[in-house]
Amino acid sequence: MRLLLNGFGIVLTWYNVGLMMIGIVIGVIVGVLPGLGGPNGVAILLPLTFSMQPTSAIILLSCIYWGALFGGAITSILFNIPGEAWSVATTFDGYPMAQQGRAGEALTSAFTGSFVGALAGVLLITFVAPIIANFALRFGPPEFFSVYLLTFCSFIGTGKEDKAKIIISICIGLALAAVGMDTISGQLRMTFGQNLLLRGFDFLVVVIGLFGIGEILITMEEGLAFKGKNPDMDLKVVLKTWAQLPRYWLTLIRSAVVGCWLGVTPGGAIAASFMGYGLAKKFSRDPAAFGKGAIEGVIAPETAAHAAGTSALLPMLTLGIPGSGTAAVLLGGLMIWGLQPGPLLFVEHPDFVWGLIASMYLGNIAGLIVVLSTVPLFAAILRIPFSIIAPMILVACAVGAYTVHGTMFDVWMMLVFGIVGYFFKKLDYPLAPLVLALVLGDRAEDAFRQTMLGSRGDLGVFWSNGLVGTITTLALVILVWPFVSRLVTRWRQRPGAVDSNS
Amino acid sequence: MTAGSDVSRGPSTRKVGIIVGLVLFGIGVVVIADNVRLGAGWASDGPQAGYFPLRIGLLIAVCSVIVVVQAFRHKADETIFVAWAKLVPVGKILFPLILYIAAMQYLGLYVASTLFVGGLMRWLGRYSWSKTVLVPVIMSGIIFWLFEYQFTVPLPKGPLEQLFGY
Repeated sequence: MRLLLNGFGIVLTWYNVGLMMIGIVIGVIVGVLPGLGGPNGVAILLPLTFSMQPTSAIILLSCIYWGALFGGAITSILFNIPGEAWSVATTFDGYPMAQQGRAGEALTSAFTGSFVGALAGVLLITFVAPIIANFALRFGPPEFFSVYLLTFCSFIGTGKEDKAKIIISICIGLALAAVGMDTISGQLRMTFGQNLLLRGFDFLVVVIGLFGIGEILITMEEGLAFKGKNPDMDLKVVLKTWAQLPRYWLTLIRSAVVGCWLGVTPGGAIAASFMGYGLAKKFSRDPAAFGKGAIEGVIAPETAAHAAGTSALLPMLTLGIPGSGTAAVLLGGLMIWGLQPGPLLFVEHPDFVWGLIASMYLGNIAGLIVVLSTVPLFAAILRIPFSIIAPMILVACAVGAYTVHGTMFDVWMMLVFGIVGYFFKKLDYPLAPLVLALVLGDRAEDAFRQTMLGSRGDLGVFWSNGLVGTITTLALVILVWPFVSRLVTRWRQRPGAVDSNS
Repeated sequence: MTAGSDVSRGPSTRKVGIIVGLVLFGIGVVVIADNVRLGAGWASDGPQAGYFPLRIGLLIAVCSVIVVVQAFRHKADETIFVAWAKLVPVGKILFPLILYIAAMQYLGLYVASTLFVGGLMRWLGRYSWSKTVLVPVIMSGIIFWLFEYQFTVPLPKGPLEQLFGY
């Protein structure tokens, strides 16, 4: 508690509050515009923070993240176009509400739901993160490798895409991470005599390409035209909506819990928003109203998405494992600022950790105020034709990619990954595991090789004590679970199965 | 209606999926080959540099074979990857983007960005010349002020900036 108050002290300087506001506004813009998502927006701005204090830098970047989470709802409700994948479920009821002239009500409840979800996530981090970090201090290389394994396995086990495609996605990320100088032996790997590849592939360039350029190409193909409703936001609508919200406390709590759970495991905000919506519909007294403009149908996915987006930072801070794509980019940022993510962060840099946590509270309050008061402004941005916005976003991407290392090679790489992103997205290869694997690749490999060095190549070390054994076994169970359950259903459906039962 | 048939014709998702699968298989093979060269076995001091990546390469190769086989078996899937007609707008932004990045090396980022945004506004958006000039110039001015003075991060510059002594 004392540490948290200390954190508030760090955040509440004019400089940091200013950064927070700037971050929120940029974040909302990033969330509203297609082609500039959370991970991409943070990646473009990350190089600019290299010279800043790490605490100020993370405040700025995490506020962009909160802003992007808020911003996704605006386009979903007013334009029926999800600005972010996690706000797809918000369109189901948000847009019908806007069509009925209840846009203000929908936006207010979406933002308030988001705020409640985020608050649940921050509370979870405040109270649980120190415990997990303390626990994880005992982790050695085998434990860390088994946690990485668990992360990758749960992507494969719980992902809705084709399993082979998820594995390819993760492996491409790991392979890209391996390019360049090997940290242990100093040998050059997969550089093929090219000096430009010595440094390897920077995840920032890959993220800007995959998410930024790829998204713009897809948007061009779909030929988006923004024709939407005008928001009718004023204080009266806000207060009136707030008066109704306590009625939905159960939906709020349910979605917050689902969101927190899916955020900590790498299921992420996207799965959380759909699950929150589904649960709200299932338990609602009036399920038929869903899809036609039920206020609960807006609150549920937004609360869950925000809770997930926020609590995704919990494993990132305590174990060094990002729970979402944007968290992965933030994690990469930590390493660039010279901070080692993981349990030691809480011991060695308490100012940073608690400053960040304090900024989550304040950032979300600031975010709520900013979005409630400036929705018409952001809606106006969307009315700018895509033929101006698209080239400007591409310029921003190019600038972002160039500033990572100051080389033109990175800009070309961004283009290559943009085209890769276009194909991957259209063929249902998931992109988030690729980014996660790219960020974690070197750490996972180091943990594996250090373990192997210690055990002289005996894989049994991953079951050498209760802790590491449990995590490894859990990882393998999650990995094979979908295959087993498919086999079981097939076995039950085989002809003759009924006979043997009777 | 001709427009309807235009939108429904294009390469099938199945074919593109197979081609991408084969490319990925190729990448897997390249990864394997390079790491075999490095030594992917076990040295006296533990796993060699290629030990981990080799297995990654193997996984990529195996899974891409699975993807290709799956695509071959799903003959019923007749969805198209992208209609030829819809590739036109994609090309309209992709080729200018390639030109823009190429131009950046010679003209510098600021001039190239101005031309890129202005060009696309005029070509795709059909804006009046006054807007086509004004908007990108202001944008580049803001970027210049932000990066050269506020962040002091130098961006690539070309002959025009040299003329002004930067």
